[in-house]
Amino acid sequence: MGSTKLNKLIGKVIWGIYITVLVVVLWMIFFMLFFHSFFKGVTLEFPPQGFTLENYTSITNQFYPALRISLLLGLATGVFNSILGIPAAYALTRYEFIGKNLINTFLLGPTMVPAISLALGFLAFYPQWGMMDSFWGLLFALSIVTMPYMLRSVMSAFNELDTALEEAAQTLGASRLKTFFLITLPLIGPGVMAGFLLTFIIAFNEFTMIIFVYGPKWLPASVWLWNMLHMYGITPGFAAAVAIMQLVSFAMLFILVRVIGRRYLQGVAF
Amino acid sequence: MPTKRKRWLNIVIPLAPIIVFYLIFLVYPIAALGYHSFVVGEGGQFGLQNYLETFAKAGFRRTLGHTLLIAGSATLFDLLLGYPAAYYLARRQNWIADLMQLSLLIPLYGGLYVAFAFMLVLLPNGFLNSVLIWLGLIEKPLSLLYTRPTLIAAFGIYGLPFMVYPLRAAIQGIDPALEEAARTLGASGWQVLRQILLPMSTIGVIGGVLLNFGWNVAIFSIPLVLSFKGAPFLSLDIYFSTRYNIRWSYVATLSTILFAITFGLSYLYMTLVKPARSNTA
Repeated sequence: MGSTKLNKLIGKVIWGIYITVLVVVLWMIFFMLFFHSFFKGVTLEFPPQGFTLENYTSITNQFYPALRISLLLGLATGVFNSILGIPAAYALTRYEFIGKNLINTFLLGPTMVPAISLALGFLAFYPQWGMMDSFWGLLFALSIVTMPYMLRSVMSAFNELDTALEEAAQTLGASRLKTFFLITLPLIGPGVMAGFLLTFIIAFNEFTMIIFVYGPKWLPASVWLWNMLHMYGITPGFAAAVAIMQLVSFAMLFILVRVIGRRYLQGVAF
Repeated sequence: MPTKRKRWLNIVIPLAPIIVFYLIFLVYPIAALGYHSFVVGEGGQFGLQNYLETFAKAGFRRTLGHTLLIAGSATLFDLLLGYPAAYYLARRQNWIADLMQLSLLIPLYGGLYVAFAFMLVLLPNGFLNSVLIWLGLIEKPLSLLYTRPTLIAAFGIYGLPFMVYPLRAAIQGIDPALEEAARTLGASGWQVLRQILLPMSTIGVIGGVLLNFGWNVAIFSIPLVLSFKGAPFLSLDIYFSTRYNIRWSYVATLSTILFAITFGLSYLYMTLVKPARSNTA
């Protein structure tokens, strides 16, 4: 009996080490740069000469305009995806029709296409359409890669919704449109919020789709980061900019997981 | 039959805008590139000449081989690293599982950040070398950053969720009673893994490998930051070919090859693995 107890203990220790290493490595992606953003000095140096908050103010002029563009694009993409995605999710969950599976697969299609191929395609026709370096050009590029996440979240919300509530409203004389806005929409709210937040997080951080079609007028933060790294290497100011990007993303992720609920993370999984 | 026509409209009106949007911004760009890759010369005839020319180049074959090698190694790395994580997520529901799930979301949107973190840790004057020198374990900084194992690890961490989610779904479909029964009858942990878990989660392993490899092949941001001379990638080749004087027939061919790999593997997953999984679960 003693040996089985020992085996169990060894098993527990191995599990503990494995989980700790995995979680630490994944969080390191965030914490290394966050930690570095407080270093004094202008070059990469361990151990640091000291700690300071100055790095967050010294990048004001260059980084914050780019950050503003990314925030705007993230929010606009969320709104645009809601407008196109909610009705589509409604039709796909409420009705049975020929070709439904095909349309369903088609609408989740952007996850099956490499972003680099899609971005190259955009580069081929955006100049002719005058959409290089424009708000709408970037918005459409971000929307196409985030739409599947919006659709999955909203569809799972519609699937969980009790249709009896809608039927009751219509029996009592509400029109179809009125039922949708007063009954259905509030009830699928969490699913829409989850889709909106996922869209925001991905659009806010997207890099591949943007680097082919951005320009000096519309230069989002992710591309700004790459340009900085390319020119100056890793500096504390750069680390501060990355830390801000990640803190914004974490805030959204936290709302998604804690406030709206973990079940809507199904939108992420395949 | 007014009600019948109305039902028809109820389906078409909500779906039409999104389908038009997809046709313009998803189908058209991909199809246009595919078309360009098959057009030969000025006359506009169709042919496989662009592909034959591309494959005839030793440089392209090396790039393709290297891309597949790194992507494949990262998939293997993810399978080994991700299986225990998937098992834990499938079987436990506690705060550790919550934390793990949240952690897995970090790489999902931030390929660029994964690359930055690797850079900061592994640079000659970076975190790891400084700590090792301070501890007196090494005298000169190790050159760890621009190496293939680093590329594989960075790819692996970025693509980990695409391995863990299909595996978790497959393991969730296995009745825990089977493991307990085997345990009661005296099977060791290794035997349970070999004889129960692995055979019954084969569909998850296949699904994870398809999704993960398809994703790895086309990663762009990580090689852009972490790649070095002698480590070519298809995605980088596409990007740098667009910087000056684009030869559309060439980049369209490269992009269509990449598209075919990723789309083919994802489509296999969608049509074979996913339905099989929902039947058993």
